[in-house]
Amino acid sequence: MNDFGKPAIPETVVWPLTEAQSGLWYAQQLAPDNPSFNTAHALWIDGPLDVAAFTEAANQAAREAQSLSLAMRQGPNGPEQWLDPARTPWLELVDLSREHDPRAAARAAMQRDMATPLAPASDPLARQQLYILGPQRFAWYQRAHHLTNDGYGMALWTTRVCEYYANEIPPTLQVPLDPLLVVIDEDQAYLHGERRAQDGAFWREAFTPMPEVAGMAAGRAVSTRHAHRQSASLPPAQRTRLLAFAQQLGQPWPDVATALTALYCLRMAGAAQTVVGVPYMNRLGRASARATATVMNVLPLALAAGADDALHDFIQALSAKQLRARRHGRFRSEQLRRDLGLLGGQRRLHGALINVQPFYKPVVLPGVSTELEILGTGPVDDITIGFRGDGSQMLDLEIEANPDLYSADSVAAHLARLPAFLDAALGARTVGDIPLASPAEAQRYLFEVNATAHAVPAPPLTALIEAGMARDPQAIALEFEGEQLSYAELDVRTRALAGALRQRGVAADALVAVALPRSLELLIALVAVLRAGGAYLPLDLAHPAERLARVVALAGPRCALVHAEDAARLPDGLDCLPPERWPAQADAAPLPVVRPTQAAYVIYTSGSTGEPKGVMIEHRAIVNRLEWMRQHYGFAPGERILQKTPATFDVSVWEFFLPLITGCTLVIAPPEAHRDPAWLTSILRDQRIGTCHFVPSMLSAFLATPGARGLQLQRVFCSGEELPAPLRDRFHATLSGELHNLYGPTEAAVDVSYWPAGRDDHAHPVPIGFPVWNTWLYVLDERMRPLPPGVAGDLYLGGVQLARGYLGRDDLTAERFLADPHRPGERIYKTGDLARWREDGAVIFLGRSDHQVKLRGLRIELGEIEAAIAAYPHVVRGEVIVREDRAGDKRLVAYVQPRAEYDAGQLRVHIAAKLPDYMVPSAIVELEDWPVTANGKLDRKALPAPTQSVSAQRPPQTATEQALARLYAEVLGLAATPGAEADFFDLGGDSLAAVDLMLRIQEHWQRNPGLGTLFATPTVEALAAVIDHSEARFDSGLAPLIQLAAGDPVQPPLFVIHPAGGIAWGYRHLAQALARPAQGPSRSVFGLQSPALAPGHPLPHDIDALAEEYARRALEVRPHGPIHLLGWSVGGIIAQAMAVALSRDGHEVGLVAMLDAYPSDAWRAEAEPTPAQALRALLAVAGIDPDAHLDLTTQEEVVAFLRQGDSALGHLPVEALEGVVRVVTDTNRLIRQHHHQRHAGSLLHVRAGLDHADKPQLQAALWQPYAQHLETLEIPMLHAHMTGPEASALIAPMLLAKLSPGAA
Amino acid sequence: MNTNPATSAALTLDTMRAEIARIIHESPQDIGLDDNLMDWGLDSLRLLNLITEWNRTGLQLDISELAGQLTLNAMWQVISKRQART
Repeated sequence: MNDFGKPAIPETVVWPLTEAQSGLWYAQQLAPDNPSFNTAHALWIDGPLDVAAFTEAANQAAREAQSLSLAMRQGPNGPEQWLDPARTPWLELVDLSREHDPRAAARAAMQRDMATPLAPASDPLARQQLYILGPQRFAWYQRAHHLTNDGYGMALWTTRVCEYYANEIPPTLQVPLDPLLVVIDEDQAYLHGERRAQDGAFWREAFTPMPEVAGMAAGRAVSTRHAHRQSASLPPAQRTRLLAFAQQLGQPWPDVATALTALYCLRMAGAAQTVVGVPYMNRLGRASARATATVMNVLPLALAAGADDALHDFIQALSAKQLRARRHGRFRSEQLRRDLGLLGGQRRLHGALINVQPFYKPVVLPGVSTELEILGTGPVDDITIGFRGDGSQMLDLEIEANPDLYSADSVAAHLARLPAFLDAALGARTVGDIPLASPAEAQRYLFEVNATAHAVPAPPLTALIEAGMARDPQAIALEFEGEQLSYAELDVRTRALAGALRQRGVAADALVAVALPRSLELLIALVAVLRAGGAYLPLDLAHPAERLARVVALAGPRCALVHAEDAARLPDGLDCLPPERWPAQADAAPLPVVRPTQAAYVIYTSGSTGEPKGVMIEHRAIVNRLEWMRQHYGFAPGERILQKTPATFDVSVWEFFLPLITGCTLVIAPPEAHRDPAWLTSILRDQRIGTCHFVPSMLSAFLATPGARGLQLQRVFCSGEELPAPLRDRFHATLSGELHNLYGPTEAAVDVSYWPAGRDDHAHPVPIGFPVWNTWLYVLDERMRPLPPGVAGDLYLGGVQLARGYLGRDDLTAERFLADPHRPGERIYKTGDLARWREDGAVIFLGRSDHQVKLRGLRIELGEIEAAIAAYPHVVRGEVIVREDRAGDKRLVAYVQPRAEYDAGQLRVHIAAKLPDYMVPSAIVELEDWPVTANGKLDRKALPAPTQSVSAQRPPQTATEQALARLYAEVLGLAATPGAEADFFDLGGDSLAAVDLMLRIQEHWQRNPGLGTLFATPTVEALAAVIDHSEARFDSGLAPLIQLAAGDPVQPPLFVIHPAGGIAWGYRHLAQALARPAQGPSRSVFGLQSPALAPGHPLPHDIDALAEEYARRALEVRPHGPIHLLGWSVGGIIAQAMAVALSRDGHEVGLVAMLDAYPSDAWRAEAEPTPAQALRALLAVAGIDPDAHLDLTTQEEVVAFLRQGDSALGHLPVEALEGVVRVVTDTNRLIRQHHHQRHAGSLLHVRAGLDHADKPQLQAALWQPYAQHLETLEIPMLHAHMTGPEASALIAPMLLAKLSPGAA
Repeated sequence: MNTNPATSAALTLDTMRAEIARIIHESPQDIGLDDNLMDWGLDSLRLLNLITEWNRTGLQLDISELAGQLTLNAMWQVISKRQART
């Protein structure tokens, strides 16, 4: 008994883990290297601490806080715990005062401790240390594994120590902390009570169907070893405002803070709905209110909001929802996840956690000042936003975030933005009234990142060109197919033509159509038009005559510069001036003065209505663009620049004129060369080109030509399409040169932003970058407010480069060129593109806003799917679109250009491994040639419809498909006939139903493709194809080797060895999970089955011989290792023997995993089963409880029973069933005779934690003598369920991680 | 000092029940005297606010006195004792 009448730690009593602990136990077991389950804080103490008194207080409290002394182990009925006085975390004194920097030394020591993963079965789980930093400086470190304590419990522990130290425990608290037993009793009572069932029903109903969980950051939310952690105090005035606001609403302020923070998360995710998690302390009103323990639960809170929803209604509704949620708050969220099938993969119950801790009070130790620093509160999957404090004295905002999803900068940004959001919310009427960007961000993303003011020479383009001509008249200006034109000649010829144009009335803003193929004349024409003071209108003679006529009619050019033979392609009545009639010498008339505000060119782009729109660009706009490019990239006289872009595409504008203002030589590519990558390659090489432009899709084709390899280019510019990151990387792997990504619509003088995509650029996706000179980029929300980085919005452009507008279409101009709401008097252009900011001020292009894809209510970024395809090595290029070939039937279709080793199934697996199901294209179409528009861009509209539609909605078409789909429906009891792509097992089929299906197929078609085929090709369409294919090899599913699932054929497969019955079908769930992992490479799975299943094939005489035979079979599939093995039960014994045999023969053995298998020694001592017992083991194999059928004693009885029932075994052909009976009996005998040899490698043992109550001696350690290294793990399953769906969901990710250590 | 006659009246089991029902948006008669109020969704802050209101009448109640046994009966036991003493 101690001073307070408290019993010391009681006699050793062993308890099961609580529900709250179990989840953590298994999570830690599955990730033994993960230290994030350590929770800790440090109290930095300044002042004369009485160390002796403090030690006394800390030890008193440690004695009381029983959970800190917990020891744990894997028991026969699952993990269990007891109090071990030897583990009590007595205060450790550590003197660091002699260190050079004691504070830093203490911090380092704490970090080391926090970074050390704890093994709950062997390590003490809590500790506390007092670091002495100096005479009056201390740091008190308290750490507990989350299994022993939660945040509330940590505060209880701390407070208790402070109370003892202060020696002034208030009368109401003169009771010690409660013993752990109260927590365990409470947990047990709830576990077995009615309330739990009611609570579970409430949650399952509330989350069926499961709402979309939208996160604020892209990526997979899987907890990592470490988390970012940042905090800031809310200013007193803001706290006061928040509290007053909540009071006015009549809701507790934590509910209001939670609701507003949830809204923030929703808006930041750019989603209409999401689910956040709300930690629930679960203490008040419970016996556990005064005991340290881990009790905290997480309640999922679903929310949805539209911009026009009244904010007060939103808050009230969410508060009411929280109130309802708390009524069912004891039901564990881990259980709910299991109930909802949200195990593994990307399926999660909630995104951000919002944790308001209003009862937190500053730690007070008399006579000293203290500062609390939270060091870790447990694993963070996504982001945890915490409010710590009572609101009236203090309120700290704390953010912990998964570094895989959030950068430290983005965490800092959330920390600054959320308070601004809360403040703005207090004055908002509707949800949409709250701006998302903080005032500081608005300033930064409207103005700071757009601080591009730069003095650009005022002269018009003509003056710059003329200066270039004067600089070095003899320098070569143009080259075209061996012809050259010097600057002097260019001057003469363009001056002459300009004169002729002047005579035809060309003057300021008058248009001259230019319809010439690439040639010297084309350049002469363009420069001449400008020098005449006019604006050129490029026409592409390849365009349909109707379109040419329409453009000419709309634009009204004064005349046309066109070859005589082509003039007929242009509308009648247009004054045509063919090159033959151009004057060679200028007349005496001076050229006009061109003003910077005159139009330089008009380029027609296709409008959404089908009517072309003429974009009119002025001299000052294009001069800004060209001068920026000249200076930014340092173009110098003498460089050689390739012109290959058609004049109707505005990229050509810089190709034409940049060389002329820089004194470079313009090399004009032959007219059709721009479409031919091989031709281009030879031009680049032969013509010694330094700079050129590629549309990314053409760049991809160019890089694929053999001649591209090793090429040296000075600069390559990309624009016109998104530059995929893998293409950038391929560029640098193929040739040497700078790569620059530019972006801009025709409406803003070619390009408005730039990004250096050099060899050292690893940005993913590749940004469109930063604004060019005198240009601003806005990413705005629907109310034209700036958005913070990371949030998708509409991209607007402003600045000197904006077009004057659409020629003759003031209505369209007014629609797209708007008054700039942030820079009075300026205009902005609405691009129709979606974009988001990066924190560094670069912009990421996200796609066209009118191509926003929403399928079945889910938002889809096509770019994300394309990125997944691009990461598959065997495609040159991949594009994804949404097709609606039948009204109302929208689906995703991927187009890929395959390489030699391409495999459609593999690509599908690859995509499915990276993306949620709904983002996997329903069809993948292989293309060799991409349809392109006249501008060389991908023509999405011309992509072919998938011929062999494999949409999930596609109804079965052939007679075989239709019949087979009906059989699926019958066997599985489906209400509707499934689609052609429906997967038998996804529809709910199991092995039993599979056998049934095979029998019906046999009946219908008089042939049986076999279970093995069904496992490998489970869709209606694929199986029908097998049935239709008369020569298909049919297998019974009883062959000695069957493929259970097809994964990435490049990866070494996993071989699974049959349990006692000789059949390996039971591994199907595991096989499917391995073949379709949520991430990382997939695996094929092969099942090894007993050869004795076939009549007349007796078993070999011992297990070693059997193992050698199996090893040979595995080597036939995988001749050069590593051979990965897994076996359940007897299969585990055989797997170990196979590993021994393979190693002995010099083959590489990889993973050897055993699911609840124990060595022969464990069985030898037991009496050999009677034949009846062996037969009854067969019942167990069939999934029937043998003890329930003690009456079945003969083989005939057992077989007859099985045949009556509906088990898969019962439906086997009689010879096969007899084979199974034989295998069960014979295997039992062989096992008992087997003597293990030592495997000179690792064994991984997974124990069925819920089983073996009657045989506690069945422990993994029994394998110790037979392996060099033994790794052990336990999962909460019965032996019989080790290959079931739930166990497979637990085991598969862990196996995958072991199989590819780098990929997980 | 309290000038509000509505709150200065001594608490009864019925008024206590009614006020708790009000803050969790329920009818008083629905809440059983031995129901755990946490299972009704009562959260600590709502309870704290209520206690603060009651304390204006001089009750001098601390939330921790109620923390372990949150039923109407248990609360009333603590409160009635306290009222008898003052």
